[in-house]
Amino acid sequence: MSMTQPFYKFLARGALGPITEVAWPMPTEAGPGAWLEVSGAAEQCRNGVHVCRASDLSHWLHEELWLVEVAGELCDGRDCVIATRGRLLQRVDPWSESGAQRFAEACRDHASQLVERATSADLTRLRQMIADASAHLPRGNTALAAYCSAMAVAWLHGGDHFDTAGYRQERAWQSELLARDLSLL
Amino acid sequence: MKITNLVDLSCKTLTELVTEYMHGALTAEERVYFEQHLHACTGCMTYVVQMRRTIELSARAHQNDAPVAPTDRAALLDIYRSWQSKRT
Repeated sequence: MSMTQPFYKFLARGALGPITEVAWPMPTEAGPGAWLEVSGAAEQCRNGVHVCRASDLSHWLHEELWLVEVAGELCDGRDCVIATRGRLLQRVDPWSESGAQRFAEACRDHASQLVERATSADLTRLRQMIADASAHLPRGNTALAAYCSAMAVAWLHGGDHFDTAGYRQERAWQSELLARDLSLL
Repeated sequence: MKITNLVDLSCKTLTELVTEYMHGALTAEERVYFEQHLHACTGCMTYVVQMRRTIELSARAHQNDAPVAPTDRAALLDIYRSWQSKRT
C-alpha cells in the first residue's frame, strides 16, 4: 500500500461524514481542503481518517464521492484504509450527477442475469431480492439497490445459506464497474 | 450475540446493538459489519445518527448545569420538605 495511490471517500451531501457528521474542509480554488488529523494510532472504526481504495468502493456508497489524499500512519483495514491524516482533493462529480443511478441499475442487471442463468436455485426467493433492488432504483437508493443485488448473488452461490465469498465477489465486481465507469482506474 | 457476517445483522439486530456500538463494545469485525450495514441502509443510518446526536446533546446539557448556590439549595430543600410533610 502506498500513499501515492488514489484513495476515495464517500460522504453525505456537503462533505459531511455519514455517521460522525464531521465536516470535511472542502477544497478551494487555492488548493485541497485542510487536513483532518487524529492523535494516537490509526485503528479501524475507532480512530483515524477512513478512506477506501477503488476496490473497496461498493461497500461504502453514499451521496458524494471524493478523491482524497492521506498522510501520517497508514493501516490496512477490512474494505478500507485508515490514516492519521487526510484531506479532500476533488469531488468526483460524475458520481452525483448520473453515475450513482447508472451504477445501481447495472448492479441490479448483473445480479438478475446471474440469477436467471441459474438452474437449481430457489428462483422465487432470488427474484424477490432482484425485485427489491429494482424497487430502490426510482427512489435513488443506490446503496440499497447494490446491496440487494449482492445479497441475491450471495444466496445464489450458497443455495440454502448466505455465501460470504459470493457476496464479496459480487461487491468486488460492483467496485470495479464503478471505478471503470467513473474513470478512476 | 456474535455477528459473523453481514447477513447476521438485520435492521432489528442493529438497533439492539447500538449501545454496544456507541460504547465501543463491539469487536473490530462486528464494527465493520455494523458500519457496512449503515452505509447500505438509509433508515439505520438515520437512526444511529439521531442516537449519537441525542447522546451528545444530553452530555452537553449536563455539562452546562449551573452550580446551585448554598442558599438556593437550602431554600429548595425547605420547599421539598414542606411538600413532603403535606403529602403525609
